[in-house]
Amino acid sequence: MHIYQRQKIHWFYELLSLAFIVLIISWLYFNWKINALGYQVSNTWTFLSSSANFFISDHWLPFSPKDPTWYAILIASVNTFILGMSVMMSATVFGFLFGILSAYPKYKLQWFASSYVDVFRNTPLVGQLFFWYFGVFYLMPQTEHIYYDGFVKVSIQSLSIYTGNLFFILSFFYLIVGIYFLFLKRAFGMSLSFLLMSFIYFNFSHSHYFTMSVEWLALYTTLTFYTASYIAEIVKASLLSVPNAIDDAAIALGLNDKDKFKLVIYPIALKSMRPMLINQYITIMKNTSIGMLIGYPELMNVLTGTIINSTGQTLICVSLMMCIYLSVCLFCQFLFMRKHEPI
Amino acid sequence: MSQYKLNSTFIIKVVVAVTVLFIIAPDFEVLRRFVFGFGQFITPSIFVLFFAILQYTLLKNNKFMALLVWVLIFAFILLNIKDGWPTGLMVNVVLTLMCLPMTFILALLFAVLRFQSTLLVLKIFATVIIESVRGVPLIGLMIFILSVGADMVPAYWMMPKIITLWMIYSLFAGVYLAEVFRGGFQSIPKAYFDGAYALGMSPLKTYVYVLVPKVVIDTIPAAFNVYIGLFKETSLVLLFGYFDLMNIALNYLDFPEHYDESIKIYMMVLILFWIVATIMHEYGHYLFKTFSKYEAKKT
Repeated sequence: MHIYQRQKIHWFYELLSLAFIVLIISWLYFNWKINALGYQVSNTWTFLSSSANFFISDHWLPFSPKDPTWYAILIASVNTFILGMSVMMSATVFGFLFGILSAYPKYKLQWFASSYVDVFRNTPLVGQLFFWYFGVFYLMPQTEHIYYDGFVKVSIQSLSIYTGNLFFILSFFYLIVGIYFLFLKRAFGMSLSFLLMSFIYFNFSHSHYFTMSVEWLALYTTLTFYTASYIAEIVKASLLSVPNAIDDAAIALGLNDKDKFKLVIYPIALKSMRPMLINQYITIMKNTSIGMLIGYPELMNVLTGTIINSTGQTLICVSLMMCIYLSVCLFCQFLFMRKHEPI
Repeated sequence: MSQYKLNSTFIIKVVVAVTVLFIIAPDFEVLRRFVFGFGQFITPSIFVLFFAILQYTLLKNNKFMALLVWVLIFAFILLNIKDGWPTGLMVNVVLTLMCLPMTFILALLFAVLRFQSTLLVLKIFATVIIESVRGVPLIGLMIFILSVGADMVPAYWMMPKIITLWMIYSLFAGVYLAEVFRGGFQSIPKAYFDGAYALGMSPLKTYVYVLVPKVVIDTIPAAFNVYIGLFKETSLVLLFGYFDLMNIALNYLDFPEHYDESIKIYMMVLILFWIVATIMHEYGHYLFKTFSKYEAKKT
């Protein structure tokens, strides 16, 4: 439609396209109905409230196989969420470091930062995951000779660190901060996350050791290094996109190098890199599903692997999985989206 | 129009990577199996020939011949599918090649439907598809196709696995590319519409002769980002039990006598992927330099 023509509704074509789409979707649905009749058990939602009957090896909240299936899905979602959040934090730190290093030729380590970005951006995530999991973490000591010196315990299955009562103290502290935030204005989300963290930390305090499984470690390293390379490229591009005139103006005002970066260039670059950073954060949440390949019990593995195998409810489980991931993505978009501010 | 010059760092990088690859590889036979799979040498060489012809037609600006060569490549792939081929790195390369034109068509279609169309039904349809495919990880999409989508076509169709993969990957990459093209369409100034209107072009002609060529050339760098992403994501075909590079490496490491080589083997796999991705990157750079009307700003 041309922009100078008057906009009007073409009822005939609207109805025609609607009929076409409905025809295609109903064709797919009836095919599925015919094909799945042979083996599909009846579609019911009752399996969500019956007991799970499987064990989740790695869980942040208390869980036993007698708990209902919806609670198992919640446990898996918490696994995904915590993995994604910790990767977000560490990848941001690494990405900013490498981005700033690779943006300016005055740093001696520029070649290192740019080759890091080159290597980690151009290789597939699955390959990197297998490299860390089967290659690097495979070198940890076998079960027969565990390394143990009272403080750390390293084996091929897990890494344990002695924490004593640290988590109990932390949990108490977070509880107080969360309750304090509850009485402030516009800090409800903040207080909720503090209370959640306090609950999780309290859960750790039953044991004097903090244990991380090797699957978690492998996923964490892989996703951190992989995403950090993308974030480094974003940071570099935004820093270089600041016009030279602004640089000159800052020098004319008599700012030294450090102040110029901190007060002038960095705030401008931060504004232009925000949408791309949000994009990367959403991508991290989706990339955690790669944990399925090494058997880490995150949302994709539990919902579409274990539960489908034990109940056979394919359509419900798959659509539930898609809905959860979609709502996480849309929620992140909604959370970070603001009116675009011109630089 | 600026001329493309071959970057010396690109050559050095690739040469170093190939050298490292040959040093690391335990055996030449293993390397050959990783790259060409269980197939023979002849099929890749025919590929190279096809690509030379395609490149020639691109340079001569002969669109019809280029289209014909794409159709030939496609027919060639379909005719050659059998048990031993494609396997190894050829799976990833072949799948990417098959997906390129379909991704392009789907992306243009979705971008135009979602952001330029006046038909409300099609607009909502395209929006729902784009958002739902973008919001779900590729593994989720694959599991959907494997467990539910496989029953959504008549049982007697007996689609080859690679056609299913082709459909999934072109949909997935096409949706991402649609967003890229959306940016291209939005960046076009209103004056172009004025010019086309003054020349008496219909909306369809405006799109075909004015907007699409400009958008496609402007978005080459971003589009090649999507294509490289697509190439990297093809390592997930091991979920289908397809013997791509990753799966062959896993298979090789299953033997107890190869247990201690795992770091070497995975580094080999990563380097092979890296070489192909770097070559794709350089090819995108070449295309942009050759066809774009703008000079890059020197800093």
